Amino acid sequence: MSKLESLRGAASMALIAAALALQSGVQAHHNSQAEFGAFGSDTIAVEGTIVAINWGNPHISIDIRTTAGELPAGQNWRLVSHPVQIMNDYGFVREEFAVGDHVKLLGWKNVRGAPQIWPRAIQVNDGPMKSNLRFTDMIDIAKGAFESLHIQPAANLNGSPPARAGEETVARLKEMGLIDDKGLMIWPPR
Amino acid sequence: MRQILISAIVAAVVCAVFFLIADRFDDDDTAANDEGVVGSRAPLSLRYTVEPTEDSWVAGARGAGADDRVLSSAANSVCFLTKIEVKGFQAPEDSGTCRVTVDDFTGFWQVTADVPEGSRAEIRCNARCLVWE
Repeated sequence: MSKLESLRGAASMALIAAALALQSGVQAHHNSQAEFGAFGSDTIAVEGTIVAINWGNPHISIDIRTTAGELPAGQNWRLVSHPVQIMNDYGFVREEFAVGDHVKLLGWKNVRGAPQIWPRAIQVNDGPMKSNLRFTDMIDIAKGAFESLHIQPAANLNGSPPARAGEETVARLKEMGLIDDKGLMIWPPR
Repeated sequence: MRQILISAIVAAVVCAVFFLIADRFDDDDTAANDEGVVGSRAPLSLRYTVEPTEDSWVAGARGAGADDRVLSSAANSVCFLTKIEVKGFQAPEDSGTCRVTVDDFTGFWQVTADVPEGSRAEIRCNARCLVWE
């Protein structure tokens, strides 16, 4: 490769980069489903050890090193989730996580192949497997699959508006008598 | 004499590295590689990624923070900002940052929108990556 060819190649690369930089994406909205798939899509089961915790806004994140489950052991993965207040609403507090803790979780992998997981449910050490997404609770309840998952429902499931779980799920929940007069979720069943 | 010897070794190493790099990037070598030259490598293929669907963004009026979007493995890519959008700059303390960095934990590039405490600015960032395989 001559020096001239090298320079020409570098110039081409710079032009490509500049052209790409000029293209701006469509205005996006904050939506975990864009990065991790639909609320009702299949989850994977993973176990790991916590190596770092970032409990802050706009999203908390927890770094784990995998030990078992559907991902190879010894890999670094980042759990990303809700803002702090929403985590609290779901029944999670910072104090229940510590570096070195063992976690089991069900979650969705990042759809772009990045080493990130959005947890559908989290279990710390010997604690309960707690739901981290009320809309997926609704979907699983409507499907009749929730009990078999042995997940503690989201702390804010009762009284939640179910629209984000999808029309089909809302219709099924109504049939099951789990939507009240105000259109909000009833849980546990009366 | 010793200096000449060291210079010769350094020159030989530099030449070897240069030819290895040139061979890796030179498409004209494909024919030779196809003929089975020992130690040859396939030419690189380059592609670029699309932007993450969702921008990395923080609205300072709601609270400070740093929001990341993971991009691609730093082992075979380089990433660059494609979008910097700022809103709500009204006072001297309003500020924000867009940056592309390698996350040491995951080994992936990430694009980060960062709004410090006290700033009410809104920052949106996005990025794409050039990947070689």
